[in-house]
Amino acid sequence: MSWLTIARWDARAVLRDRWFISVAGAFGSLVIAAALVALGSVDVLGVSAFGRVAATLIHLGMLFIPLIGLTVGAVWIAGERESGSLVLLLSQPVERRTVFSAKYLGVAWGMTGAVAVGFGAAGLLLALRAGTDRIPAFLWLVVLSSLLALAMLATGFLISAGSPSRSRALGTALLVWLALVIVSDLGILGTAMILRLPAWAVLVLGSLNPVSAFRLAAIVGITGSADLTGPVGLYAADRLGFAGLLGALVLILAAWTGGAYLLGRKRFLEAVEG
Amino acid sequence: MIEIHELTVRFGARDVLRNVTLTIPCGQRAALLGANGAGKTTLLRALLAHLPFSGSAAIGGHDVREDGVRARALVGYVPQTPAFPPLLTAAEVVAYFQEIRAVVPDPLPLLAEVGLDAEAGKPVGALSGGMARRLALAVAQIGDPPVLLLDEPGSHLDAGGEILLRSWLDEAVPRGRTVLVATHHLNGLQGLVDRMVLLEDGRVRADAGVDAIRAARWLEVSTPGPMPALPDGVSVLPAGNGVLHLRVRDGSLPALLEVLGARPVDIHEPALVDVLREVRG
Repeated sequence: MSWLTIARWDARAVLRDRWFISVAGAFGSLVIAAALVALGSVDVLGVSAFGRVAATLIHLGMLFIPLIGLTVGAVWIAGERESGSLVLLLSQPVERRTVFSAKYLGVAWGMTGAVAVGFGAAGLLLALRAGTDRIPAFLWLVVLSSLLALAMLATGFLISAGSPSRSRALGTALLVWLALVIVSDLGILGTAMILRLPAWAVLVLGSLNPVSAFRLAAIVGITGSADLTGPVGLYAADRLGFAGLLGALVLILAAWTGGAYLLGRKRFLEAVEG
Repeated sequence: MIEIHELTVRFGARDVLRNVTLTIPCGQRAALLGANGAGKTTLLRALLAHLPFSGSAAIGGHDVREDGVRARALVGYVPQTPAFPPLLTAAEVVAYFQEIRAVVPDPLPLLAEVGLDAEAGKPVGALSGGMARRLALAVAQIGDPPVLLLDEPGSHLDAGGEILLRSWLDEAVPRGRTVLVATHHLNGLQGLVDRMVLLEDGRVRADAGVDAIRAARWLEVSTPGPMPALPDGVSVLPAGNGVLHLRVRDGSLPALLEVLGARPVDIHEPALVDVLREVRG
């Protein structure tokens, strides 16, 4: 069970990583602060406070979860390769593919655990102040955030697998973060306007970005409709139906995770065995 | 047993190792000698399948690429620059590798054996180079592997560490361990290996048992000229400035000293590598 050993120790290591602790700590603090501020007016606004909490959490998640997943994943293997500690691990009687899988699982374990703790604290506050009727919607947000974390971590591992140095991996990860979080929507909007793309093409292009898929799935799942997602979301809901749209968006997150993971593993094996 | 056949490693357009063929039988301690860049580390890393190569390599009958897990299960490896998972303590590193090798985690006795018991709780990043080397020796012993691949194991070690390494290599014989030590100098390891293999430009230039090397050993004598009538077993080496450099085979020294009479002489032994170059094997 060497994969379990490696995964367990990597989960422990990620929870000691200063960068991870800093960013995840900032994320968790903001989540709780946002919940407290929004719930401060719960007596006046009632359950509508949940909408404000959810909107804040979605936006925080869109910024922080990709940042944590991409950067931690990107430096995880590249850093060990650069320091030389990977050599000792690869000299042990463990399959190389197991090393990659176990490291991914270990970091994913630590990361989703941290996401769950951050959201869990906000959920507890929510339940205490606003009642438990919106907890299922909140849990949906936790599940989606975990899926986004897994997808971004797999992308980080893909970057890390073939990067010769920690700094190059980190630089690439930050560029990918910018592309997915900031540039992507603007680029698609610009392209759609210039090329006069049909709605379905805008939908496909937009949804292929896991951050956009997360946002759409979160809004649709929490509000129970696509009204707040704009014309593209409305079009998608019209074509696929409510459940179909949610299923497709979750599938996109899962496919992104699986695809990046498999490509990363291939790249890792090529890098260590030639 | 380590078996290497026609092993070639290419980095870009450059052959770092060229058609290396070598067999190290069970229980033998071999030193892999050569200057920096000769290919010693590359050969060890090829044996661990850390890089692509042509030809074949097997440890304990297991092909290192096709059956790498079984091959690596037989190996304890000390890398040239030991590095460990950076966020763990020394004790956790040992426990980690013990678990990976399915050994019940109990790091303290092993750390005590290498003199690191007082550092057990220290993060590995805080260990000195010598301590990291000792920790690498501890990790390489986990599971009592029958084959040891040691890459410059003496570098950064203090006197205590060298004594530890020497006793470890001494114990390899009664334990039947096969050892391959890569080093660019034999300081501290003389008398602890049974065989020497010289790598130059990625090729095996010489390969001989220590007994054969000892038997072929000579002395070098420097003395001011002129050239005397040389007895049998003495030959002239290139020299200058009116100084004679003579190579003296075993047993010919008394005859030479008699011929040289009262001249001042400087007698010294050549480097083992120079002898090895001539023996070739």
